[in-house]
Amino acid sequence: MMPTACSPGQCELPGAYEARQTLIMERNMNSRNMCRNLTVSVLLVALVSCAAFGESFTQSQIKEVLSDFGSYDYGKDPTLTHVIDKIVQFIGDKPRLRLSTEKQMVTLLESKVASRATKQFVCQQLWIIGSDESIPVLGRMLLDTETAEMACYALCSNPSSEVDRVLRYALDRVPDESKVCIINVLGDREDVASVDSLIGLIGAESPQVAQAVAKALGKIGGDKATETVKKARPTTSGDMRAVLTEAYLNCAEGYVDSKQPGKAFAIYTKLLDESESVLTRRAALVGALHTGDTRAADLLIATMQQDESILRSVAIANSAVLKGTDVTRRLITEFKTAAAPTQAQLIEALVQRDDPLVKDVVKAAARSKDASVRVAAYNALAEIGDTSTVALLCDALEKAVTSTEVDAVLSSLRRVEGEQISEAILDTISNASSPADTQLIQVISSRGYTPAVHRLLQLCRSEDIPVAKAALRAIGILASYQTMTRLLDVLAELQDRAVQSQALRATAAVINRSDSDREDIAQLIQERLGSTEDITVRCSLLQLLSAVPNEVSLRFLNAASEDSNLSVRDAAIRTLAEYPDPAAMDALLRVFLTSGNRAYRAVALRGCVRLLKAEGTSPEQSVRLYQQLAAHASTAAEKKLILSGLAIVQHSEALGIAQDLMSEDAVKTEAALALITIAHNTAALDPVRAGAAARLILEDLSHSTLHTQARTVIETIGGFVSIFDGRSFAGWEGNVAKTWRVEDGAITAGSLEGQAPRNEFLATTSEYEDFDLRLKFKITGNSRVNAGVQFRTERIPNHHEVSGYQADIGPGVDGHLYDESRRRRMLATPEAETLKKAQAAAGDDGWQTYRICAEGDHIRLWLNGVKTVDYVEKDTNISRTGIIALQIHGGMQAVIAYKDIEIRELPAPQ
Amino acid sequence: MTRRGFLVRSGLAVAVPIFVPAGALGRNGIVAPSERITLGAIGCGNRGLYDLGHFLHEPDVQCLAVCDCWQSRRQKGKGIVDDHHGNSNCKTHRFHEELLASEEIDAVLIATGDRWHAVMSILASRAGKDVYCEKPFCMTISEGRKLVETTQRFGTIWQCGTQRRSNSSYRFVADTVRKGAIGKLHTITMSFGGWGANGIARPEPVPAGFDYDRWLGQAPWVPYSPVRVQHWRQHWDTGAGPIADMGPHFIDTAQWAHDSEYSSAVEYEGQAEFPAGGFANVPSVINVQACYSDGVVIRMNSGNKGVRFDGDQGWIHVDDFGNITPKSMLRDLSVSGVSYHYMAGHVRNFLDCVRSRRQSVSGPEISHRSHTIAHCANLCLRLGRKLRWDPEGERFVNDDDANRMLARTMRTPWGL
Repeated sequence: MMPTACSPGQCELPGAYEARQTLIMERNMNSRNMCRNLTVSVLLVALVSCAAFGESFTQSQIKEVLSDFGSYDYGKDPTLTHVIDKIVQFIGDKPRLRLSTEKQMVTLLESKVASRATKQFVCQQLWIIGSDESIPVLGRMLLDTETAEMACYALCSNPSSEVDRVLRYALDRVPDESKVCIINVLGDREDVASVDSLIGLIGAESPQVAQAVAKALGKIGGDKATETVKKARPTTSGDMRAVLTEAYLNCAEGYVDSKQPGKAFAIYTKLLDESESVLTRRAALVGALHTGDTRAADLLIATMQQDESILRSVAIANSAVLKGTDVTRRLITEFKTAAAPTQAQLIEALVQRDDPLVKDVVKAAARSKDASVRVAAYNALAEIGDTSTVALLCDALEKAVTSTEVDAVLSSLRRVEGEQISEAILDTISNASSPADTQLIQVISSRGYTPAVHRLLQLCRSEDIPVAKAALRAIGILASYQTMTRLLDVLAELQDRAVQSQALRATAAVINRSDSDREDIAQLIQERLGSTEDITVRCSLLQLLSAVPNEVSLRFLNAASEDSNLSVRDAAIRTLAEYPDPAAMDALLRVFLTSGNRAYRAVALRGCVRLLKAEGTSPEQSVRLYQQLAAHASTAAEKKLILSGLAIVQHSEALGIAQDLMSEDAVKTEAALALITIAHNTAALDPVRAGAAARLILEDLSHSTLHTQARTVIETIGGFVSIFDGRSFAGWEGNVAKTWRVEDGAITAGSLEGQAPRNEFLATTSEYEDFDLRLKFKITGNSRVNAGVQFRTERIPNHHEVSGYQADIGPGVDGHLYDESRRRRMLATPEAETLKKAQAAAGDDGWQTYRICAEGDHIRLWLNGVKTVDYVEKDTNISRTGIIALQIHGGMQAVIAYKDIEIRELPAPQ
Repeated sequence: MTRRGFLVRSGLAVAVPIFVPAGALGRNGIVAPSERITLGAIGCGNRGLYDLGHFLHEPDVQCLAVCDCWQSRRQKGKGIVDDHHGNSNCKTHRFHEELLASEEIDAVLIATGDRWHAVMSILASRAGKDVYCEKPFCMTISEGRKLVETTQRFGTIWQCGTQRRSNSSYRFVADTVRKGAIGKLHTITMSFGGWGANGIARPEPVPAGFDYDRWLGQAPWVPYSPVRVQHWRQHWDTGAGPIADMGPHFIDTAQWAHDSEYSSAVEYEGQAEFPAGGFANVPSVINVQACYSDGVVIRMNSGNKGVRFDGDQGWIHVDDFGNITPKSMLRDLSVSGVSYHYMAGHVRNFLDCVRSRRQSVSGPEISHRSHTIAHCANLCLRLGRKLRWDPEGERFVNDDDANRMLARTMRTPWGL
């Protein structure tokens, strides 16, 4: 695999890179073919192993590491680079060690034998710690095209002015190939002294050099650089022109930084010329407005009078940078004559100015003929509105046609800050007509204005039903316990059913918020119940009792559930069904067991199941109650309801109830579903009964989802355990130093680069006899792929081979049962058709599954869920126990990974 | 890099909306607003195609070109685009310069390796294109600042691929913390998951159809190796490490909840484990404690991905999938708290911003600030010492070594 011929892919590389690549490849091959000269001493191994714990280094240790690093190269073990990273950390605050280390590094850079890789890595460290000490050698390296770039890397951030000197020296002496990087660094360092040299290169033939020069001049700035850029621009086009333009913009920025806004402004003005592209003009405009030059305001106004809408927009968007009321005035003048879209944009910009002059403009704009201007004005009023603008907005709400406008007004009304605002909005309500009223009431409630409750209590008596309902909704949100008496009065007065039920909801909402006063409220409601004869009011009050559950409330409800009046009875039973306390259970049970009314039975049953589902009932109690309910359930609907609750009972007795109901065809599926759910939840508590239930599902039904669930339950009970933790080799042994590694949660071996030197096995430290083993494996690469899973196997003493059964992996042997190092033959070979099926069943992600089942003399293999081997061992001398081991085959040039290794040990067959 | 952006200089840290009709940028105003947003997709690997799928899902997107340094990938990208549009018009490019030079393209999706994100974003902005860019969007803090300045200068829309910004669960968590529902916030804990080791990067011939030079981009030249190309995230030359990989998501949520989106934490201290022996040189396990100027602490570790906020009256946690705990926090609130489809809302927000010309929910400045926290944490681990950061001047306080690492030299011909 030597890269001799130029393949199409390599031809994509520029020639120089290709040559270098090939050179390094060859060198690497040679070094690998030789006995690898790893001079990593014992000391270093110790250093590496403690690398994670903030270790320290002596000067002589550092010297030894760096001297060994001289033989480093691409493709070699990079351990020393990690150690050097640690050394650089360690010496950070130790000036003497820094200097001695840097001197060592300089020696490496001067070395004739050290590889490019060594020098490159050293340069990357000098980027961080290099001082004057390394500048001379780096300066020399700049002169060599092979090392110029790495030297730039080392020098770029070194604050010494000597760096600039060696860069300038090199710039005049290196070929174009090395110039770009040097120029870039000079530019980033803003080296003024290099401007003369750079100017000489602006006309360089190499476009890369010329562009780098332009960029650098822009970064450095100053009169000379600026003049050069300015002169060069008109004669260029395309990329060079774009680069020069940006450089010119940067020159302008440089002038702003050096407090010469006038010069900056002049550049921007030049770039605003109509002959420039819109992109350039936009950038120039933004820059000009930010210069702080006194002419910026004039420019802003002049731009607003231009035809170019993009520039107008940019000017407006950046206008906030120009402070002062004078600018505000001028913008307002422009506003008056501007077209609608510009006006809309201006409103947003004006609001940001925080200038009292703006308010009147916005108020006027809210009456604009143009909808977009009006919407912009409404949005602006959210920021700067006051009580005087509320009427305006409310008025706008009435007149608004489109939903965009309505939304803008409402959002504005919600957002304007101030208590008086809320009061002002509230004042408007009586005067406005109905549709706006309901919206304004909503605004009040989302503003959280609680003083509005008093007024809302009047509004909820309105004949306008939507208004009354909106008011009650708002009361539900804003009112507190103090208003309870009045709310109950309202409840007694209301006639309209819809309004009544809204009032009921509002009252309940208030009660729910008044946690601490609940007992008082309960008393209040109970007193009213005792004194009211009106049926409708009684019904309403009864319904409220579920919000104030206590003994008295329950007594009222119990009594009412047997009231002679049908409405009262109805209200009581329905309230009981929603009652939050399990204490209602007895009453509900009584209704369900004794009532002849089917509707009541249904309501009561729903209440029972709801209470049982809620926390607070023990599983034993639940089972008892469900037994009672099931015994009295008559319709399928009732039984389904019972099953829906039963399913979550964590008690194996519940299985019996569900199982009984499975015999009834009308509810068979629901019962089965409940059964499997209970089995799932109780598998740990009572595996025997849960397992039995799951098997019943498998036998009795042909429902695929239920079957899957049943199998899951059986598997849960079966107790698969993972024998690989996804991170470490805990529980495994083998050549983990060289062959085996953990990658992405998988046990992995092999590489695409080289052949595995010999068979290697990673084995469990435990032995397994009868078991069901499942795992996933994945092969990357396709050269001489062979691997496998050993079981009932033993290691051959003092040897890397093992002896025992193998579930084979590899082309031509996939899914086969092989006897490794023992009888050395295939024990079972699947049919070609079966194998094809198994291979087709492999997942898209490359992972395949193996299942190995060994029970007594019976051995079965499944590849990707397809059974490939069903074998009976006739030879009784063959061991029925042993380790499990994962293989990588010698000669394989591919990567094999194993993961998700789970085993369930089986009891020995009888 | 001493130049400061004019918005920072003028005290306008918040991006100013620029109202420009869609499609007008860089195209001299040729476009009708009803027209579809034309897209170019750079990077057609797994993530790129995933993102692209979400763009194509939006009815107002027309993808015109794809770009990748792998021939097979750009072909695959073209196949997906052409299938979607029912034509064969999608252009393929090996060089992003060609795609960016196309006047027909309004917006670009950048989903390449980390080292390309800022470079390409800046080039695209200079060309007047709007950009949706995957995270981490910068390799260094200086790249981040440069991107912010460039988008401000040219008024381009730029959105970072921190799609949790558009996720209702994350929004809910940020709002909850901001409203004080957990009391006074004192600690933010975020976990990025652990990273493994890998093999040695042995040089091999460059495969056919792969432009390795392009792939490397600004990274220092090293010979091609499959390990390097596969595990580029795990080397500082080509990737920005685990904190900058998931950090932009969770740090962004933290900045959002802590209401410090235009600033950064000021102190960083921590330890890391670096994988031994293999190609990887970014930390595999991290443990960093950062601190805001108000004393609120950020803890970063390698546990299961997610972010948790602790206040003096409670806590709230959201995992990588948007599941929120404790469930009691969800009561009476209209958030499901279960996993939801991340991307759609985020891509939609970007496209809407391309039209409205308002900066997106994950715009340059706030993304730069959250990435800054990730990079400060990185440098603290690489230098192995406590660092103090000045978010105003964007320099480390009294640490020259750290300040050197704010920027690094790019390989020829790349530069900012």
